[in-house]
Amino acid sequence: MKTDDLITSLALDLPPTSQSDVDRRVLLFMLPAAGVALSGVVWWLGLRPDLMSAVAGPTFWAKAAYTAALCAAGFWLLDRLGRPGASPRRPAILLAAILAVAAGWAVVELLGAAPDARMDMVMGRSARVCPTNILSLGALAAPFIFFAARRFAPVKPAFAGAAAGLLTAGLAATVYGLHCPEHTAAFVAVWYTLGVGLVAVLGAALGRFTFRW
Amino acid sequence: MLDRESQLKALMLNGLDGDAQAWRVLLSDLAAHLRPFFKRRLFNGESDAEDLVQETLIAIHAKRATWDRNQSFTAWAFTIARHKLIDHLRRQGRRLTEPLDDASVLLAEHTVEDGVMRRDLTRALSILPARQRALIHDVKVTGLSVAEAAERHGYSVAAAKVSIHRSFKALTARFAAGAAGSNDED
Repeated sequence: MKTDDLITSLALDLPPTSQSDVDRRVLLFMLPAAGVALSGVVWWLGLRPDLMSAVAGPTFWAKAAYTAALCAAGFWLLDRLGRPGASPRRPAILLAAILAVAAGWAVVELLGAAPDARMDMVMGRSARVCPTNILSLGALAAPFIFFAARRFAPVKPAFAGAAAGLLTAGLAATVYGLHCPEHTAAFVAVWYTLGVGLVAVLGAALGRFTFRW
Repeated sequence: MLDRESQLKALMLNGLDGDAQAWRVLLSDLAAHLRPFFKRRLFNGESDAEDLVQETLIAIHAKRATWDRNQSFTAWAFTIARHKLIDHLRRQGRRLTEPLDDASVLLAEHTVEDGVMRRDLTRALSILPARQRALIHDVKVTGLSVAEAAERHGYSVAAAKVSIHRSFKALTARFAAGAAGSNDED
């Protein structure tokens, strides 16, 4: 095909487009992604029995704020990495700040506790299953996110995949909070972060294939 | 350069709103700049460069929503072009290709027809004395001039001409008869 003909045919197919189209699409697909993660919690893991009293207290919301912030950082990173020439510096700084706050909070909490209680605070009762549960819920949610994010044009597909994984994991971990009764900052900072990181790493591998364009 | 940026940016903004005319102008302008950009960076020339121009235009079209209007348009378009170039080189590296034109020297020897013909030719020439055979082979198959072939095989030019003439006569006599003979056998 001659290039001039190609240009003519491309110009014939030109619906008005906005730069927020791609973001809106990812946001839209976060709804079904959250939906399947939620049904995973409800039908498979079960809601925490004390949910009603938990939502009245601050720790439930602090946990949700941490995971939701990770999700937002993932979204912003994906948006920057998905646009050719855009710099991911600012969302990367945000991500580092979120992780630092969580780690700092955990350390302060542990230092304020009796030394022989510290191990229990870190391990809780579900340390062994927490990261894999987040991974499973993330796997349920991931197809929606990665499908929607294919509209982006990442020059580094693995990084964009990690960002999409972070978004997915933040979403999944937030929903997982409806099941998980752990309440210490130390537990969340270690095991939630590990689960989220795991999904981000798998997302990087997935991104290398799904984000080709 | 700054002017070009704002000019292209204006076209891009109109294109995003669905202005087909602006879009055609923008893509044509980009194509004209992408062509030398790719040609300079590719080893085997024109057709690959044109393919890459088209691939880049398609990507710019399909991914136009990923341009952030707070950022430089040329940087965005250039990043896409570079991505397409790297992608192309990577694919090529995995399966190193040479343009067919350069390989024709090798390929020409390998057609079935050539093989059959060469075998027939060798058989036909085998009826000639060795020195005569070498001479006619150099002149008619290798493609040397009579003078070159004569010198190579120790003939004078006149003697070489006579020898070639005799060879032809011998071959004609042998194979005209042979053809007649084989017709008889049929």
